[in-house]
Amino acid sequence: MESLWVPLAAAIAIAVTALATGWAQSKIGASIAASLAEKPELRTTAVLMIAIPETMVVLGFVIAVLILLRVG
Amino acid sequence: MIIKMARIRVLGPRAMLGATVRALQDRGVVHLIDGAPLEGLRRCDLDPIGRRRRRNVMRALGDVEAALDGLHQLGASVADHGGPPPPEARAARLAGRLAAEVGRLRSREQALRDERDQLAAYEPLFADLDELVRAGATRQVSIFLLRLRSAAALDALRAALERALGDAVELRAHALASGEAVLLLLVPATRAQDIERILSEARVERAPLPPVLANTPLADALPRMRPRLAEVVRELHRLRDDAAALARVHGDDLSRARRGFHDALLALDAEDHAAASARAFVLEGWLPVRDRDELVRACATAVGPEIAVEEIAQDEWRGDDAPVVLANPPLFAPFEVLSSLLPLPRYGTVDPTPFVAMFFPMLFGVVVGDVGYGVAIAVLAVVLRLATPRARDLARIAGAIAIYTILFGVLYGELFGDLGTRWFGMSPLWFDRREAVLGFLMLAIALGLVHLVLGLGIAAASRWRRDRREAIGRGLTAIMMLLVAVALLALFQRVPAGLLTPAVIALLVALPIVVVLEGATALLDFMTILGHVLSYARVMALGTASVMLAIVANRMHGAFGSAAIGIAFALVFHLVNFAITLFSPTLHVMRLHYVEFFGTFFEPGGGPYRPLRHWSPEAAGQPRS
Repeated sequence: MESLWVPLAAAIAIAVTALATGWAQSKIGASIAASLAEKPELRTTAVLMIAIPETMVVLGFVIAVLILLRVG
Repeated sequence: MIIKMARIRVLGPRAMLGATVRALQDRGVVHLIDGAPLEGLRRCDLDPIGRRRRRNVMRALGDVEAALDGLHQLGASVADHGGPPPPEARAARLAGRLAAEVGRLRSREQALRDERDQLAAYEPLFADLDELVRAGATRQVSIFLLRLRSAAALDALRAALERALGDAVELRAHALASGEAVLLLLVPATRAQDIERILSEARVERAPLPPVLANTPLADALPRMRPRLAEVVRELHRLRDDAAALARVHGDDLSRARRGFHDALLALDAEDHAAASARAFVLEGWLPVRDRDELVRACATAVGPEIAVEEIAQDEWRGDDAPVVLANPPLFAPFEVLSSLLPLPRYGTVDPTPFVAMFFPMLFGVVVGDVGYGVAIAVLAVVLRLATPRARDLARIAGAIAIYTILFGVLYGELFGDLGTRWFGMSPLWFDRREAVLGFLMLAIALGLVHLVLGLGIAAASRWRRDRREAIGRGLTAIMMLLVAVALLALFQRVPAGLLTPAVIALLVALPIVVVLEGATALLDFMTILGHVLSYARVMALGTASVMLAIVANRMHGAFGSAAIGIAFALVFHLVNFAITLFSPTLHVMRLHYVEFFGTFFEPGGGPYRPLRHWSPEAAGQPRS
């Protein structure tokens, strides 16, 4: 039974964070696209803003790895 | 690094203001500002003569730009052999004459191009027209030259004509690339009125003829269309030759006049910054300290001993007002491209460029770490350098990235994934990323810790003179980060477990001190920085993904029946992975710098350094120094 739950838990860890990142980026992306239309000089800020939610999926990935390796 | 600036005040007799401004422009190092108000002085507005001169210069510059732009549009290249600008009055007369002449050439060229395009649309019918003219048919029948907006409407028209006239009508049509169709309709003269009615009902328009043939009967105009097209093309060539001749004779004068007029306007604008009394003027500005003595000498030589240049003491100005000039050693300078994507740092703070130069290629190398991809990036850097000299900085960055990628490739024992191991028996000198996933994660987080502790250290050092409390707070935060690392290592028994308790106690002591020094937000700040350390885990995530994709590409060789197809797929997959490798780690490593690293010490808000200097086309659109 454990052989099922461990990979499932890892999958959930990365799936939920990936969905959350995608959702956040969709909202930020739409807003930033509108801002860029008026102020193209915000392009650097745009890249940063879009990149910020990626931390969620990175941390999800780390947790998934830790689960798979059963650290602790 | 940020160059040290000096604030200066230039004083002299009012009559020498123009000469002084020109001397400053020749030196090209002083960023003029509106100075602090001084008793007895007021802003030096231009007098009526000055205002008229500005208007004249602007009008002449408009003529020069119009002439140069017109010549460029006519395909003539304009040379600039350097040298001093011609006298203003002569240059203005020349510019006015040439602007009018080039304007006439452009109007004529536009008319000829329109006529050529119009005639070219009928070109497919020329063979039919020649045949009709030779047979004398143009005198025996009524001819209609038509143009349909859509080739699809042609079938409907053909059907309508056949219904009404049967075989009595002859229709020759050609579809154009634009989707339109031109057609020639021949009908017996007795049925011309029927055709007029059908065309009117179908809302089909007669094709327009060029203006020179517009008043000629169609039967006479048709034979003249082909020779007219050839004549128009010849005339267009002649007109462009005329433009080239104008550019050859006057192009250099125009280019020098443009520089002269731009310089004159810059000098007039600079005079606006002056404060003056009836007899004296004062100009204030910034310049790099290294240029100060040379400027004093240059003013004395070029204008005279009546001009005094004095430095304003540092306690009379705020660092926030000083413009920022970045100057880095050649090894670091290319990385200004990356740091320039953010606003300039405030004067008196730290230029992040050297740190970007040190950490950006290294973090990229840690992520990609593959000898094969590193060599490919090096080749790309060389190609970039040779193909586009303007991309020199980018090529240098790519070169640095390639070196680190190869270095870490050797440490990981990777050449296009596991190909080096399979073909050449390569083995990792440090660790195997495919196996030591946890070790790679620890390395990524350790790099993050070092990077951010360094950032906090930089913040402490740069704030030490301005705000001791904040500097100590930043330093203590750095120490707390290290204490957290020690506590975690002790918890996982990577260092003696006895260090756990002292580390936690030290942490508990330091925390309230930081809160006292920096306020309650320091706690939130500390937690944010801890989160930022974990964010460096992306280095491991991307690195693992990169090596796994390379291994998958290698496995494709045996996954297909044919070895050739397998190799082709493997190459394509490696190419895709290489493209991802170039894009994704670059973006993420930049983000680690901009968000995580810069967040610890970077203080934006510096103003750009825009010294008064001679105008040049290259510098015209270059606000950042």
